[in-house]
Amino acid sequence: MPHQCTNCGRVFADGSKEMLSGCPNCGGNKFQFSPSKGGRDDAAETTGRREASSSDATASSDTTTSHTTGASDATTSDSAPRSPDSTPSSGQTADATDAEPADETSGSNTWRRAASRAADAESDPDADGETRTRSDRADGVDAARRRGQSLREWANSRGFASEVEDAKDETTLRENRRQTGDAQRLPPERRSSTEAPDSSQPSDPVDSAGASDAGDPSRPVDETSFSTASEPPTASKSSTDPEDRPAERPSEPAERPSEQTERPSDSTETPDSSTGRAAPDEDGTEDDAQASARSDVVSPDEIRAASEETPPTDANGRVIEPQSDDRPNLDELREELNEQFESIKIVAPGEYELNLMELYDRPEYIISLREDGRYVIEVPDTWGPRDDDDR
Amino acid sequence: MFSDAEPRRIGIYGPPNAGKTTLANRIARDWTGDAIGPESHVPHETRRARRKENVEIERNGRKVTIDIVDTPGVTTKVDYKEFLEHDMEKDDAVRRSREATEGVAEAMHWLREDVDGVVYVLDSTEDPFTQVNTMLIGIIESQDLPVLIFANKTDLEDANVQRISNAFPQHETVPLSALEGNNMDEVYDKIAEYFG
Repeated sequence: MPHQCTNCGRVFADGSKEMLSGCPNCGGNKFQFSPSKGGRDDAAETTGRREASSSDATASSDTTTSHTTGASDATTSDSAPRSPDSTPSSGQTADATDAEPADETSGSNTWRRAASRAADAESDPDADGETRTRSDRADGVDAARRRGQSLREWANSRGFASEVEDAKDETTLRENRRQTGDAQRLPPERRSSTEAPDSSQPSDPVDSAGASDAGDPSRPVDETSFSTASEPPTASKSSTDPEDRPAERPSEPAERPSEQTERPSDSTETPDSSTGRAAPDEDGTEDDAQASARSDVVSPDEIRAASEETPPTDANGRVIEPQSDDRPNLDELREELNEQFESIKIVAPGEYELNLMELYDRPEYIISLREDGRYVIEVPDTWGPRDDDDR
Repeated sequence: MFSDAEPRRIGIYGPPNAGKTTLANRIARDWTGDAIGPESHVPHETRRARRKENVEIERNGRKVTIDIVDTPGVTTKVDYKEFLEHDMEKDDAVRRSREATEGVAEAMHWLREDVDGVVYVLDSTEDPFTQVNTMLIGIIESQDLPVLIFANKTDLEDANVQRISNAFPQHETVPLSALEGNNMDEVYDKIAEYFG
């Protein structure tokens, strides 16, 4: 029972479309996901799951690095510890569960449920995941710290725009992004590895991040997760979802910077979260140079639009291509029109093309052609006499 | 009666080699005893508009006087190589090509300036759906000129008058063979009716 309504507890089969428009029973639009098998399916499920704990998507996505903070708090306080460790491939699940508590303040219960469920689910998973998870976790933690640092620096020292340039964190950013929205696309191993750290992070990062901040970070996370949740969670369309998510996220970077600047003290999480989200935009969509250039001049909305994952390139391409197409077309058209204004076109000696309409419209009387293309216009009077001559 | 009035100038129009000059000569000979111009199987034989004035046509005891203007065949492309097939030297072909082009320009000009009605001659063995035909008929219609469609060369086996009348159902189509003089009575009836 991969999906369960967090409100009424109704269970949905994996890939069920029923819940796309909310729980048919209670209308709830939060569902939790517990993988029936190893984490392999996670990718696809993440999407579907997202609705339940829409946080998943975001959670899993946000969770990755930044989210960890908020989620981690929850985790730490609650049963989470179990899940992270045991979470082999189902790292996401753990995240999801983690995220949820953050999302729903009321959801401690739900969260717990989810957590326990996740734990159950995790029991299936293999030792594989575990080992990987751990090793990854260690890496992840380091990475997270590093990230946090660099982000903090960035947040404090520069405006948001500059982040892009700075993004020496690029890799981290990219990681984040992958973990987040793209997680689903990643090969299972990658996924588990990337995600696992997150789930594991709770323990370490929590400390570094500071549990106190949990409240704040969780909020942003929630917001994003909600927004994602509002999207029709197409379980089957795992591919589309990732794109959607990044699209939404783009806007965040713009907002986030301000948050960060406002409360630099919170830096650890905020930056993280910001990275986690901001990263996706610049990352997959465009290269750093583009992003920086863009972010300097362009409004958040535009950034958002441009940063949509695949669309971005497409969109850009579309914008440009039509223009380039138009130009040749216009030129051709103009040329064609010009040609048409020519009543007689000398293609080659002895070869002519005539524009009947233009000839018809000409006020001149009779035209005689010269080899060099000149016309001789004769006066009307010559016509009658000559006719007489012919007689 | 009509001789006092200004005779109506009827332009004989159509694509090259439709039999315009043959028709013009037939009419002129029938009613004046003279010919208008040389006929030829080679396209663009008529490269200058030729006019026969005061052609009096008697129909049902009534006289209709018209000026007949035989015009060069109208086309959108003139290529001297077309004439080389008719045992013509290149220089001659090139010159003929240039003159034919001038002739088209002249025909178009007269259509605008100096024609009161149009006899549109088509080779009924040819597909009437051409750019030239469509454009010329369109121009004529836009001028509100009275027009008769003559489906010529009905003496030929593969003549298809119906195809022509189908192509221009808004106009009256008169079948004839100008060369053989077939159906000329109806031709004159229609001319008197339309242009008298």
